[in-house]
Amino acid sequence: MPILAHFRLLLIVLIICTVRTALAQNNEVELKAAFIFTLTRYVEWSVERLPEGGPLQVCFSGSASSLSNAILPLAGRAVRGHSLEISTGVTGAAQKACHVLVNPPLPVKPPAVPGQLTLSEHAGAANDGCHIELFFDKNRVSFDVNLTAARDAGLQLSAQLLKVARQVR
Amino acid sequence: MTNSASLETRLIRFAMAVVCSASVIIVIFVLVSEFIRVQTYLKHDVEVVMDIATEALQPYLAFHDADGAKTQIKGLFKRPDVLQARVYDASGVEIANRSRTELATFWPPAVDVRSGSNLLLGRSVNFSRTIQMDREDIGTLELLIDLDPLWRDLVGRTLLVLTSMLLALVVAYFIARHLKRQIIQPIDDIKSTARKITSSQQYYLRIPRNSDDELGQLIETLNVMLTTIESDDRKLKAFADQLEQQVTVRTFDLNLALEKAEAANRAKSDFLANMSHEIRTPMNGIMGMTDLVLDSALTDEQRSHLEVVKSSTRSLLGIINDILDFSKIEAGKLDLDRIEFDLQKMLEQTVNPLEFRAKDKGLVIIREGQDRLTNQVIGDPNRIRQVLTNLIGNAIKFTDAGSVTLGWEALKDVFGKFHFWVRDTGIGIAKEKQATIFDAFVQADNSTTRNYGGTGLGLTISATLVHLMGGRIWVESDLGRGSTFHFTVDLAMGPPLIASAETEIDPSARLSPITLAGSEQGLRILVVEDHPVNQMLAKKLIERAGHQVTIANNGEEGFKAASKQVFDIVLMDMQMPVMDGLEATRAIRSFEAASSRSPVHIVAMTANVLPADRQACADAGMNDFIAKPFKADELRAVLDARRSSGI
Repeated sequence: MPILAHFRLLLIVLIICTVRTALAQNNEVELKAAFIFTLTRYVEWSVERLPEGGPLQVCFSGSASSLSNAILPLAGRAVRGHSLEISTGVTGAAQKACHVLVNPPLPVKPPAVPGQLTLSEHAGAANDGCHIELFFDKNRVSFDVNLTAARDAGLQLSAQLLKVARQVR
Repeated sequence: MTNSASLETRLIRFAMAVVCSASVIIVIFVLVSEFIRVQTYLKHDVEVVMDIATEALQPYLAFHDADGAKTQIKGLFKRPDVLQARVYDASGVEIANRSRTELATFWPPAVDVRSGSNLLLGRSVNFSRTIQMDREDIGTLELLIDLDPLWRDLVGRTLLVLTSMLLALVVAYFIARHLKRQIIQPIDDIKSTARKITSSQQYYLRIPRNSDDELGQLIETLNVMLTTIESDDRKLKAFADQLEQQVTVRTFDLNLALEKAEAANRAKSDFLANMSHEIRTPMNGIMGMTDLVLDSALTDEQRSHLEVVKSSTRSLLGIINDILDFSKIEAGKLDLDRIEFDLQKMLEQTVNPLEFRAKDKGLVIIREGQDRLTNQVIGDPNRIRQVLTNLIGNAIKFTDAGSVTLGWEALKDVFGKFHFWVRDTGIGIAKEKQATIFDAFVQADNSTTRNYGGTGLGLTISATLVHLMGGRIWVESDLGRGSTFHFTVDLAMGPPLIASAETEIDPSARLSPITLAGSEQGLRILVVEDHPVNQMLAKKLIERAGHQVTIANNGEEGFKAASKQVFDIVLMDMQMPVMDGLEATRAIRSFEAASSRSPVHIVAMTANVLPADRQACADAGMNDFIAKPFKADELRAVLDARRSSGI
């Protein structure tokens, strides 16, 4: 499949270029978007929650933002065999179907939605029950992990992810 | 090419060679396998390390955490052989780099640790590993690994193996020396014992045996062999002793047998000599008396009868002579003279008497040869004469009309060799008979004997005589067209072996054998002869020749007569009773010496014609020699020669 291979290679190069451009421009939003995409690779969902070959739903609870716009180009990308789907303005019951919920309303109240990773860029979000809190510091994106909350949601976070995290609680 | 090095040296060399070659093979094998093993181990080791490192580095690269990556690679330096670690992101930008010390400028090309076929050479090697996440390359880890420890390890192991090899060599040397005692010592024993046995013939010696191995068995076998040899040697010695005794006994027996045989042979020779004498003497009487009667007045019939008697007697004498000669040939006792004589004269003397027989048959004898033939030659004139007489006699016998030719020549190419031939115009000899006519008792035809008589020994005797005289005899003939007999003899010039004793007869005196030469002054002749017939014959013949005869009956009487009276000639018989001819001659010579009388001419009369007998006559002091039975002309020739010599 040389055409597909070339296409993939081209795509990777483009993504890398995009990421590098974002870094070069110190574009915090784009870095965060790339981060969210990478993060999904270190999280494991149960087969029931995310059937094999099924789409991985990344939802934004609010209306379209600069972050959601920045992540949109990544829609359709494969994450461990799952196609990435980006949705914005998801509210109410529809939120429960999302595998990743970005910037949920804080504090996140229990009980947690099973198999749903919550991720927020608001300061102190990890303390408010959010699983992962993104923050931007010294021109690089970093994150804290609320492991207890993630486990409560039935998610398995990779040890490697935890190793990279600034703080795990 | 032989190997002069001792067995011991060769054994040690062999052991050393085996150990060395084995060691070298093992060293090479061990080092190569060790080299491969260490490299494989290193590669595997580094692979594991890089597996862990890439796994650990993956999230740092994923989240672009360069600090985290730097912290991660720090742990790699716990391995002492890691010289440098570097991490690159997907775009090839170096995000982490850590070195142990200052690096050498040498930086070998990166080797992917997963491709295990590469051999690691040089002092350091760069391993490279791509870091992936979700099948995407997100970076690269490179590790520079120091190979010095690997080489040190290899050198150390090599030294260890070489040390082991040296140790093995030393051990092998001592084992070989020990083996020398086990193997060489028995061989030395074998060698020294074998040498001792060879030099001293002591077959009872044995080789000491100390083991039951192959050498022990060899020694045992050699000892058994030695036992056999010793036993054989003993038997051989005993056999040799026995043989020696047998030889002594047999030699004694043989000597006895030889003595007996010699005695028998002597007896036979004596018998032959006696027979010769006993037969010839009466024959002599018959022939002499027949001649005397024939000289007297007879009727034609009586003369004719007496001629037959004379002819028969001559034939009988010829046959007896042939048989006696043949007996001597058979006994190997036919000896030849070597005296100097005149060949031309001898030939004339031979032919002359035969001419009468030829004339009787109406034949002529033609002489065909060199007139000036070398006169003086050395050989046996009587035997040549015998051969010629035989051949010419045969020619006359078998020729009814025509001629008989005697030819001779000196062969130019061979000094001293003479060729004679006798050609006739007679009946000839068939080709198929020619090969056998020289065999004894063979004549050209069985009917020959009936028609012509003869013993058939003549040619055999002639052939033998010719061979004894260094020549050969052959015949050329066609049936009905005559025959030519040839023979050659050696008559080399040289000093005679004994003084000439040949009776030389003046040919002129022989031309008229019947007419006796008269003489006014007769010689005084003493005949010493025991046989009355011979006495009478000699007396008649001498008196007819006009000489005075005195008869003595034996040697003693002869000596007495010779000492009382002076004689011109003494005719001395050899075998007589009372005193024989030799003794009488010696007595006369000593008497003459004592009384200062001039020596009388003594002529021996004997049937013994052997050279030894003639030598005995000469030794006793006799002057001449006449064979019995003597013929009238022969006797007269002797007397005439004496008279003409100036008495």
